[in-house]
Amino acid sequence: MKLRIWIGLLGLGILAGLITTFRIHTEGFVVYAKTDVLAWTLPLATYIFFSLTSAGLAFVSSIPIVLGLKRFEVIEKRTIFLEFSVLIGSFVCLILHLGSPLKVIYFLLSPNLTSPLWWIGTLYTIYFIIIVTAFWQRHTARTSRTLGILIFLIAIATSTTLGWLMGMTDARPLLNPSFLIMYFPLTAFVCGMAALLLFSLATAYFSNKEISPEKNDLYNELARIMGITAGLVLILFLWRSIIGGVSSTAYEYSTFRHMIGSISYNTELWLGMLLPCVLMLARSIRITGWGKIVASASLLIGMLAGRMELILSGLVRPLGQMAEGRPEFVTYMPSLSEVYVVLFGLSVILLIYTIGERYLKLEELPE
Amino acid sequence: MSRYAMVIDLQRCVGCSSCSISCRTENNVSEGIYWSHKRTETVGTFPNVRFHYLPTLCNHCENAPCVRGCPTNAMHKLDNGITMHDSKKCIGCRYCMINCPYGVIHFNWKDPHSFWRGKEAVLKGGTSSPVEENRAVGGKIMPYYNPEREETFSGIRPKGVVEKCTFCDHRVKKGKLPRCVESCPADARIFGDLDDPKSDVNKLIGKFRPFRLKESLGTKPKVFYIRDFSSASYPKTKGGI
Amino acid sequence: MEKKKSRTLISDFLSNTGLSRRSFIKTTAITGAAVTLGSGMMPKMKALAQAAAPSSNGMGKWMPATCQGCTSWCSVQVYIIDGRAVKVRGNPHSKVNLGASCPRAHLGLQQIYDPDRLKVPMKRTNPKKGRNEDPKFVPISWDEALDTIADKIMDLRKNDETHKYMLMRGRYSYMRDILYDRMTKIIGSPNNISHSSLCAEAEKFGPYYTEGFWGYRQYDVTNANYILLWGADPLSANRQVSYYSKVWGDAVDRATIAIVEPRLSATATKADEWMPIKPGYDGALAVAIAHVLLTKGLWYKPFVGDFVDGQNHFILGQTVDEESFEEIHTHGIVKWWNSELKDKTPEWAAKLTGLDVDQIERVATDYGNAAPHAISWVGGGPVMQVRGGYSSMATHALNGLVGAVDNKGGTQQTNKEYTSKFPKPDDFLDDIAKNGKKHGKIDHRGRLHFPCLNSGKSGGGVITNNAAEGILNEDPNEIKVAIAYMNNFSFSAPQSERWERALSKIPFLVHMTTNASEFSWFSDIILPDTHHMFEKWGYVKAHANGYRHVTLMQPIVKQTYDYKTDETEIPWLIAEKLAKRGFDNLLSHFKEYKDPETGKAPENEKEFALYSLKHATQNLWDPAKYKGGDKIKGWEEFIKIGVWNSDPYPIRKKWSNMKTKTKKFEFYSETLKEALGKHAEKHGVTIDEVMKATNYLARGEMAFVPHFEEPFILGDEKEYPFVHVDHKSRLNREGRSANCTWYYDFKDIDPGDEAWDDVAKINPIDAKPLGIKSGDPIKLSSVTGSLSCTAKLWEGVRPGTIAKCFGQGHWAYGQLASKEFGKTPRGGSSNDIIPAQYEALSGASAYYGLTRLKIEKI
Repeated sequence: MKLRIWIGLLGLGILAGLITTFRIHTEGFVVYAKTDVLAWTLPLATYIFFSLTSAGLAFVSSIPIVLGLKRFEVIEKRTIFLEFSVLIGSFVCLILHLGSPLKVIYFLLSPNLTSPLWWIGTLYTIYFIIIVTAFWQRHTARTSRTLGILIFLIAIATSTTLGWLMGMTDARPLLNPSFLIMYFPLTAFVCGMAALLLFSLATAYFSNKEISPEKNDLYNELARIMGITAGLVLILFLWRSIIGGVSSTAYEYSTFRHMIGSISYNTELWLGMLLPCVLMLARSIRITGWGKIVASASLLIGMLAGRMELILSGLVRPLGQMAEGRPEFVTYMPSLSEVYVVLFGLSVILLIYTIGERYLKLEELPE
Repeated sequence: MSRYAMVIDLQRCVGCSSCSISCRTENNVSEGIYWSHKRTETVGTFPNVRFHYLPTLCNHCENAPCVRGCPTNAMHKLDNGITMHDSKKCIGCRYCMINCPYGVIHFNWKDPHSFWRGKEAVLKGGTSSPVEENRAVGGKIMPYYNPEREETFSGIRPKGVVEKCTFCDHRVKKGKLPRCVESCPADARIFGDLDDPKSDVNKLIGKFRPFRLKESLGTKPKVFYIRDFSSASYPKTKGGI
Repeated sequence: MEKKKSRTLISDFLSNTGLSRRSFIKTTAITGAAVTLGSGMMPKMKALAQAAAPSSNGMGKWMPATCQGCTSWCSVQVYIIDGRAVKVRGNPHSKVNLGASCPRAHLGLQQIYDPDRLKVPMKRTNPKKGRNEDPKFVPISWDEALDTIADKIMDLRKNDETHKYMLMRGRYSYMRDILYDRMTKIIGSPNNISHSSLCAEAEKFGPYYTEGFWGYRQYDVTNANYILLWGADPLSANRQVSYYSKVWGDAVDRATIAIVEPRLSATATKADEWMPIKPGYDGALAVAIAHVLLTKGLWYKPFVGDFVDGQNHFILGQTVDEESFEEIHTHGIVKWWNSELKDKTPEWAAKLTGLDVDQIERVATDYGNAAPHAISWVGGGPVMQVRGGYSSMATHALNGLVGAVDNKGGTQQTNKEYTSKFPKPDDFLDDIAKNGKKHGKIDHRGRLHFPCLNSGKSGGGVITNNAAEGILNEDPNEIKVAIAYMNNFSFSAPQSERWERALSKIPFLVHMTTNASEFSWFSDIILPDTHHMFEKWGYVKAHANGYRHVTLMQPIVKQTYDYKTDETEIPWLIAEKLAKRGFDNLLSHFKEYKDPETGKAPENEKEFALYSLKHATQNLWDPAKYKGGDKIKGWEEFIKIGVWNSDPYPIRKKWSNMKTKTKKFEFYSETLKEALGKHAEKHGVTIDEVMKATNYLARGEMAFVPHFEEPFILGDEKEYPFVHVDHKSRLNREGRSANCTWYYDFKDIDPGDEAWDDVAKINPIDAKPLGIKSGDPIKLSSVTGSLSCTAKLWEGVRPGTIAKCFGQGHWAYGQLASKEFGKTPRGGSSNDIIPAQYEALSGASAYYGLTRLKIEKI
């Protein structure tokens, strides 16, 4: 019964997404709150969020192989499967971001190697193949060392290339590439841990399964690393705010000062970093299941807002002739359709995960 | 080969937008999209105020960030230096819009020329709906459609792709000046080849100290501005304390 | 705060010119290298770089046309592909607009293919008329429409009441006389009412009563050293916008440009001196400038003359003996000084005008030093005011002081052209017609209150907007049948609501129009008119650049629906219908318009339209009749070129040969004295009583000299704290652009305005205490009406005034022009807040410095 309601809810999310897809096809992107200034909005932010989370999960899943910490093998299979589901969710959001998604064939027919976006597309395709292979290996036997390392490397490649993608544009110095190539892998990692914790604990809770003590220790360990990493992210983030927003006199950076007051900035700061950091560094909270769930959920919500904040930082001040007839900063409020895209992606992820959880023995240890 | 460039003489410019409107008619540009546009500002406090107008268009940068970023080479350079776009290859990622420092690339968020897709007539039997009017006139989507644009580019760009100024590559190819240059009533736009030392653009570039937009970014724009929109004189003064 | 923002915005945009210089040098070095490498390909490229001449390898053809978007009347060319108009440019054959075209010509494309254009005649089925009565128009055939019209005219003739017929004219070509004059006369009515006094009659008043020229001047800006503009905005509106746009960059190089205008206009943006005057005080500034010119001895002596003893006796406050000054080409300078100028110091003017005294002094001095190449350019703003007649004289008289009249780098009249009149109607006026014509005119011109002294004649000019009163009060008689074309008085005339009532009162009203407008709304029959630029035969004349051109309108596109031409085809068709009803005078008269080439009389409306044009322009294209200007080989060549140019303007031919009473440039206007005298005599009153009746303050001799009059501004200052400043858009095709999407997309090229909005521009100093911000919806009210629009805080408008552009606020006209067709306007129409008032000496409707406003947030 519970499962049926759950599947029904996911079905609704997917239906909303499909309707949105249809409307985009017939009406165009006017159903989004996009303009020529806000050319990238929530669907792309969600894509970045999911794809980085997937990369973060890859970091986690490669721990046993790359760092040789065998005790992490108990969570490896679930993590790899999560990587896969989240990646598919990110693809859903990406497709609904592109104006003419069917033409991606030109990635092959007419590649441009100077384009970070081309690399992103290519790397994610490779990443997808590797994950599928890895999961198949893991499902049938155990992940090979080579593949484990490859997953780790490709996760680094994708998360840093995303930094290049966002940071390539010199005219938008707020999207500072040297900052982003650090910030993206680090936040990816923390998101990966949060996603894993959230999914594992929620699965256990809903399926009324007892968590084994050794697994519980592992979760607590992960939670602690997550808290510390969130703290590191916070430090990076604060320095970015101070250097860019407070101490800089450059005109472009005035956008920072503008963003500091924004909803997305504050959600990122308080929910995405401070709260999980504090919760997970406090032992008494960390060891509780609810503590971990609240901290991970809060972190993920905060980080989604963070991806949005990042894009808005780069976009809200119109450049060149786009500034004509517009205020110094444009405002953004997602349209319902854009929210549906997020729900669509999320529902797809959850649906795939639910199916995997039911049929693919995600708890299984390697042979 | 040639390297085309444009000089805009701001003193001659009267800020009338003939360039932008005639561009619409040459390139079938939809409402809300500006291949040719402007930056205006009112500077000062009454009564010491002036209004300034700076015509803008695609700068056809030598180092075009839009071209570098385009994953499918839909945005590309022609041999003559024109930054050209191919709607067929455009996947609608809008990365060029993010990369362009000048804000000259627009996206077709919906079917273009929405006015001409209207199906209502104000007086039943006495007037037409926009769709009927276009059909009766025999245009394409809109009645004043210019088919010559199709020679090198989509006649009208569909929803889901970007578009921007092409320096009227289809005209330049036939030895005609870009439409905005031809139609400027003030002769404020001068077009020509940077590789021809005798071209008028080179003469003007050499005579004045032109500026280009955001040159610090290293994009090397091909649109040069000379002189000032407001070249007012003022009574000589050393100021005072 | 806001200001700072916008400044940083652009400085960001132009960022780092320091750096750019360096990188630029690098580029040019590279360019140099590339040049040497690529020199083999040079010739072709050179050809392109210099390619000014159009090449013919396109899919279409450039056809000549005429743009009547404003009264510049530029000659243009339209690119036609398969009978479809695709784009527009200036006609390079014109020596007036020199191949240039201002932005409004392009909007013609959205007018001709406006889906909201009438495609068939329609008739009203709701007998009730009013603003809130849907006319319930239904389509009818041309035959039915014309039959009905002919029946109504025949009814008038049967009852001997042809004077109850009225013809209202709007945008016209010079084919106008067929419909406006001949048809009205032959039917037998005195009531042909043009729109002219809504346009600019007061602007012609000053020049006429100083130099004897009733018409628009041309300004030799490329040879001028000083250009002083009074409310004129030649880069944006009327007249010769294309020509002045073309040469302004050169004018700026050579001349100092000063502009007197409470709003930072398009021309002001490029001026050396902006003089944001208090509305209505232009006359004060003009006489103060004259005072400076005289006291500093800066008048142009070869034109005006000098004191006999060579000393300057124009000393502040001192009267001068008339005998002591010997004038050459002028008349009455000492009288002017003694009666008006001697006390009018810059300090005095500074107080009234709200301008800086140093600026007044500086502008006056520099203007004088530039003599005789110093233009004083009289625009509509200072003169289309209740007491604007004397401002018109005062501002224009400055040209006389500096000898800029009829001079190089100065102001010039019109060149000769050789078009001919249509055949006279006299033989076709029967007794009914002759009796009908004897009645008084519906606009009351020539009455004591409305001298309308066009070219010196009492009642010589029209007083368009007052015709509404005539109709409403049935004074001198009721109007039973009215035909109107390409006009929209219920939108374009101040206090438009009066027209709504007046038109509702006319039992049978016919409107020839392209779009169902606010005027059509009250009509019984609406007829689909051709578009002047693409679909009709006609011609107009215009002058600038020392030339006059006669430019043709031709049917150059495939006509989409069965439109017919207002001035030629429709009168012919009506004439045919009248003939069938036994009254064939009109048709017989029209048959006299023979084809000059074959001598053949017209047999249908199409031939009539063509032959009448050929007839009118024969001297221009028929080598046998050549009289001057461009030599054209024949009709075929004429319609290919589309324009004829006059000989160049001969300067100084009018010095001491002016059409004034004294033949001189009159600072003391004997010409006006005579005209006023005749008008007073006609009514058996004194000139002082005429002054009183026309709302002027001048008495005695003051009535004959240019002088300052305290402005007549309606509304109590406490209740209505702001003075209204009306202005035009550079995209206004008169009032007809509002159904074009481009109009809205580019509306912000009018300084201070916004795209897709209709804003009232308010100085931040005024707006802040009221708590009004940019973007707030507001209501502007005057004593006679109100409008709704959006607030825009802007530094380019004088505190204490509110500037609002004319053009939007249609509640009909089209799906875009109105918010809801027939019901709700988009934006606000200026004429809803401008009261119906007149500069009565010329008959001009007052638009400026006329009314006070209050603002309320809504």
